[in-house]
Amino acid sequence: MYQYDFYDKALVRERVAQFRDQIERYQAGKLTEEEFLPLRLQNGLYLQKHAYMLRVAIPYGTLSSKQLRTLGDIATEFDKDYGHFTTRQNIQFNWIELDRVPEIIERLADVEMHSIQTSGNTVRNVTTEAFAGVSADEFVDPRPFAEIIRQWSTINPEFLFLPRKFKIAVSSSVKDRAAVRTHDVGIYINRTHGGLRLDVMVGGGLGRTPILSQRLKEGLEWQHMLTYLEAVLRVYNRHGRRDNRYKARIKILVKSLGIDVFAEEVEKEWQQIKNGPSELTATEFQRVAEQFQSASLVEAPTYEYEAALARDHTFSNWVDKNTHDHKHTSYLSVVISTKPGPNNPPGDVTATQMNIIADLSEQFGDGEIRVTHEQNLVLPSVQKRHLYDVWSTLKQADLGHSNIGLLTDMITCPGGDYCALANAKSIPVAADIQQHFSDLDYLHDIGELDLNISGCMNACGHHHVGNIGILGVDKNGSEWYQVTIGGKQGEDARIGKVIGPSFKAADVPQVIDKLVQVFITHRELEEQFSDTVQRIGITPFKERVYAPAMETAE
Amino acid sequence: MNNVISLVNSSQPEISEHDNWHLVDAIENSEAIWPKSMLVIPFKEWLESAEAYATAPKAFWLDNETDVHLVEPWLDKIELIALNFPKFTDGRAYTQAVELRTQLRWRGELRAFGDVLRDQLTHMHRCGFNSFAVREDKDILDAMKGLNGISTRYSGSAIEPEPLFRRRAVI
Repeated sequence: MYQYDFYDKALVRERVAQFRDQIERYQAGKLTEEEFLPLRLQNGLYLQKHAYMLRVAIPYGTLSSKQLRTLGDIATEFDKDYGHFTTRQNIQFNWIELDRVPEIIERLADVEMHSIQTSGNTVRNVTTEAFAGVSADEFVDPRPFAEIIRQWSTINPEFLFLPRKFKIAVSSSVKDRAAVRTHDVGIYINRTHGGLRLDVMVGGGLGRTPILSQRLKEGLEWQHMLTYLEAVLRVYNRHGRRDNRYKARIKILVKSLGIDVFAEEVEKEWQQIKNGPSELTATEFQRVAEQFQSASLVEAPTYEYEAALARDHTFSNWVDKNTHDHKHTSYLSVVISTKPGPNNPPGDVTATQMNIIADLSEQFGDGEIRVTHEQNLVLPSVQKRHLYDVWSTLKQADLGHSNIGLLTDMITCPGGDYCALANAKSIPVAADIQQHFSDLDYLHDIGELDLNISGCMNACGHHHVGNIGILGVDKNGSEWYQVTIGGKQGEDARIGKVIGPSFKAADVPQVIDKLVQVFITHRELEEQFSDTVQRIGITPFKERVYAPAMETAE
Repeated sequence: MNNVISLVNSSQPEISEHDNWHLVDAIENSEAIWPKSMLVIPFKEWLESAEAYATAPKAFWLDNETDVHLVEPWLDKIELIALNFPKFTDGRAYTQAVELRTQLRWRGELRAFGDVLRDQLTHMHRCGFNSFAVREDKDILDAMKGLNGISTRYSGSAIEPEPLFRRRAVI
């Protein structure tokens, strides 16, 4: 993975000193609340319901075992012994004291990490898929591109006070596992006869106004990536709305101008800087790409693994759900579920568990860990013959749950238990659903199903693109839950449709159960939930859910 | 103008509590003591009336919604352009500055005014501003520290067009 050089190290060190000074000035009354706010956000520090929350960047979701151990140490020493992995592949610590923030980011800098631009109206942590570099269906490793964008966007002086936050995702495999279509800018990288080409998508986003991105530029040569991004950001910075924060994302600008006019503006801007000094060089690409070359992969016997699959049904179920095809046939990528059941909020991992995962990655993997945008963790390269041992260890640490891609593998935001923005709680609803669907055989029978929960319309839990989406809403001071169905992520992403009036928290599990029953009755062959919804419409689901007299909000 | 940090004459910042420029909302609001030539007038007024004055002002200011390309015909007639930060969180003037410097090749003085604060000075400088009228309630010596910035600059900028990957020494 990418190793910091002299410049990267200097940047994070100086940033620690700078933010330490800003915190001190704030505490001494030399910076007002209003002046301090954007500064702390640009360093990933939020003020939540009960305490400060620090969001640490995990660039494109890649961690070394050493970094994961440090996150575990931070959880133990500065928080309540756990961290929360997010849909942007970052980690959040929920119980932070302002005084100790400099110490924490110093510790991060020690292991080449930071919290820069994980919040604020800036270019945020660049994301890609968790299997980058090892997936069997990959055209090219997207991480060098993501790292190059990370560097370009970090403290880029022109784009630190944008109209609103700006999220970029990169994908370069057959299947889009990076939610590219719901990003402000998404880049699909393809290998063509003419070399690597980029399809640039723009104007996606969830939140109050969910919109899927549209194609802005097709077949862009890779050398132009930064100049083209600069042109997009410049147009956005100049024309994006600033009068209403809910209409300030680039998706609203693209929608109001229309994609063609927006593309013309970008083109005009780009022509001025295209072929200028920000054009990427082969030398730079090489320098960065070399650092992502994986350790040499070797042939290894798989007979023990095959025998274990045949012998142990629980193990083979886990392999079936929790592994991903590796480019080398002796290996698999292991997905570690952070959603074992009702007692664990999705995405929460304890310090002890972090250390166990770090150990496993060193002993059986390549010393790397990835974070998925579904809030799970991945050991990208494990030899098949070690899988049984890995699974056994994971199981003992409550990390061996075989539910990846299933209904209980929910994306859930922290919700009203932590978040100052939330209208309703998310975690207890997730727990009730976990409880209701605790029968693994039933879950496996339902098959792949994305269930996403957000505690407010900011949509951190991506409810719009869940096959089933749950949105917490506030009605006259009480918490209700609106249900959408038919959403989907990926290259052919879809926004779900609201089925009707909202429900009380206690009724959510049985509503989901009814939706699932309708699906099971109507599905054809291996059809997935969102495709069934697409084919038969939402009416059969509505009729079933609202048939009995269930109390709903009007 | 008051509370000004300037990098116009030297790479070492110079401070003046009051300098000779005088920024006005409208020419008619300017006091008689200011020579017309030292007024920084709204660009709109410049367009309407600048030609009419014998000693035309040598500077104008732009609000952050104005397309900077409109000023192109006048660049050889003036000495200073001031860009407004109505709130420090409104970043449009950064892009205006970059465009003035890199696309219109403006070489004269480019001044930031309005909600100009210590912690944004480096960003402004990198976008091409070379003088800063710091908000008047702020201590200018303290504000000056904001120019120190961070030594690693990945992206190129108006004052340093090459990004780090073209400047990078092999270490």
